[in-house]
Amino acid sequence: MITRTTIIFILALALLATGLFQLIKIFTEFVWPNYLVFIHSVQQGYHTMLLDTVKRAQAEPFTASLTLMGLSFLYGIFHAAGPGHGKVVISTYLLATGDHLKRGVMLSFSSSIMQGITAISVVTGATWILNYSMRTTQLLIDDVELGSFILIAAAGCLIIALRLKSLISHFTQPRRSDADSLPQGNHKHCGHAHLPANALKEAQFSVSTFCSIVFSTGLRPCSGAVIVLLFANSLNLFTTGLLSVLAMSLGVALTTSGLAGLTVYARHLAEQLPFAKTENNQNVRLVSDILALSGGMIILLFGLSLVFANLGAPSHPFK
Amino acid sequence: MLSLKLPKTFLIIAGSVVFALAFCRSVFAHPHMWIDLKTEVVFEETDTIVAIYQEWLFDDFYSAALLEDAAKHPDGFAQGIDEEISDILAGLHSWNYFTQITVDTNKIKAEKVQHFETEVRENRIWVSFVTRLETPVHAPTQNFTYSIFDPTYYIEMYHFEEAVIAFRGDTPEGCRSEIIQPDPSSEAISLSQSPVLDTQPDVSVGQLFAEIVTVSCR
Repeated sequence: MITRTTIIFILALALLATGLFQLIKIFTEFVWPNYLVFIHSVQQGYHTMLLDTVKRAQAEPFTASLTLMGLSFLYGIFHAAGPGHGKVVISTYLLATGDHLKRGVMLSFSSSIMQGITAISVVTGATWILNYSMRTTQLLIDDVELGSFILIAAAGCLIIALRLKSLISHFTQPRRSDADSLPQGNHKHCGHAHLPANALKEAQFSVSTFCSIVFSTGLRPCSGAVIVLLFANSLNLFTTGLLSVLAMSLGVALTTSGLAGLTVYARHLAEQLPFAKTENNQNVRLVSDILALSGGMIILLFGLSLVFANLGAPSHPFK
Repeated sequence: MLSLKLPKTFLIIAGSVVFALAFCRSVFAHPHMWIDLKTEVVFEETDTIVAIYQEWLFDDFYSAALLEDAAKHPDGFAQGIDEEISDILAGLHSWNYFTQITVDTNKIKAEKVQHFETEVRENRIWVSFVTRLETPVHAPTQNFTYSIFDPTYYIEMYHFEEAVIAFRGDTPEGCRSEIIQPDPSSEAISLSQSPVLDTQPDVSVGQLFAEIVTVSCR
């Protein structure tokens, strides 16, 4: 009797595992590569259109500039829909810390807008103040990019350090004071089972970590923005280029905010899973610290791998 | 109902985040520059392929940047452009001029390029040169293919639309050439599963998006 139930159970489990495996296989081998190819071809088309429109803006400044802004906005949306390192960092951060939607959107928006501002400031500073040529400016952009990667690794370190401190205090402090120090969530009044967890997250939120994520990902300007701005500047159309970069950042901000929303939602769903539910503040805090710690480690390793890939890249004859 | 739906949705979303992470490096390199190509296959002694004649037309942006630097040259604009292109070609030597030449299953190298021509066409820089093969190829008995691409994918290089590969010199009868368009989706799969990507992430991407030119004289 028992053996038959066990066999059926194991068979069902095997069937489920195979199905899941096939689903993942289809996704990695078919859906994802084709999605990448689609995004890639869209981006290529936009790139040519962008540069052509900048050229047209010489003859017809007003209409071409408007077209350029529209195109830049769409380019931003599609560009951000492809894989990118900023999105990896932001999603990892949001998955690890469990910040709420508003903060996720704020993070994506500030990071994207800062990317645009970086592009504008570096190009303006280099070409106007330092009198750099377009090629020297691009080399400067590469250095800024390396700086951004180093800061990503540093942001990872910061998360690790803060959470390690919290973990250590978890094990060293007496248990009662630990629970007392947390903001109190009242089940009876609110009828919301997850208030303690949310209040805990709020208590653990670190402004410096949040800012380090914005700053490190925002310091790397989008290459498309730099090219459009430099090209427009070379044709004496700086304002057109500037407006186009801002429009592009707005497009990027929209897509990354969407992704941030999905990430926050994913974490929220994970918290609904039976094994993730606990009424014990001690355990909630422990799990949340460990999650954030591993997130910090992923961000650190990711930042380091970007730094080494950047440093190890062979010198290119066209740079 | 709801409890069944949740883990599945979560899996899909978490999965996509993980794969974004995994694939990020392979598609990390977007092209920043575009070169339009025109190439011809050079024959000698009727049936031997000795060289590939190449014309490269740089994009508006890179051309503008080169022209800006060339204009500042103390000996004048023409000299400036000449030196810029010389430098680029000198740097390209160790990259085999971005030209991957395959004979049957062997890769063969190009000799150092000594001469080139350059012009400015509608504000774009045009360069032509000849890459001579280190070992000539006997067209009737050997399979000759080549791809021109930047392995790092900083530059995207394609033949002009509707381009046809012409033959130069004494060409044997019945030779045909074809430009095979890249199919990144299928190749990306095999490459993404190769361990090479982890050790040399940035030097294998270009090939995914490269055209292949085949020449057959059989």
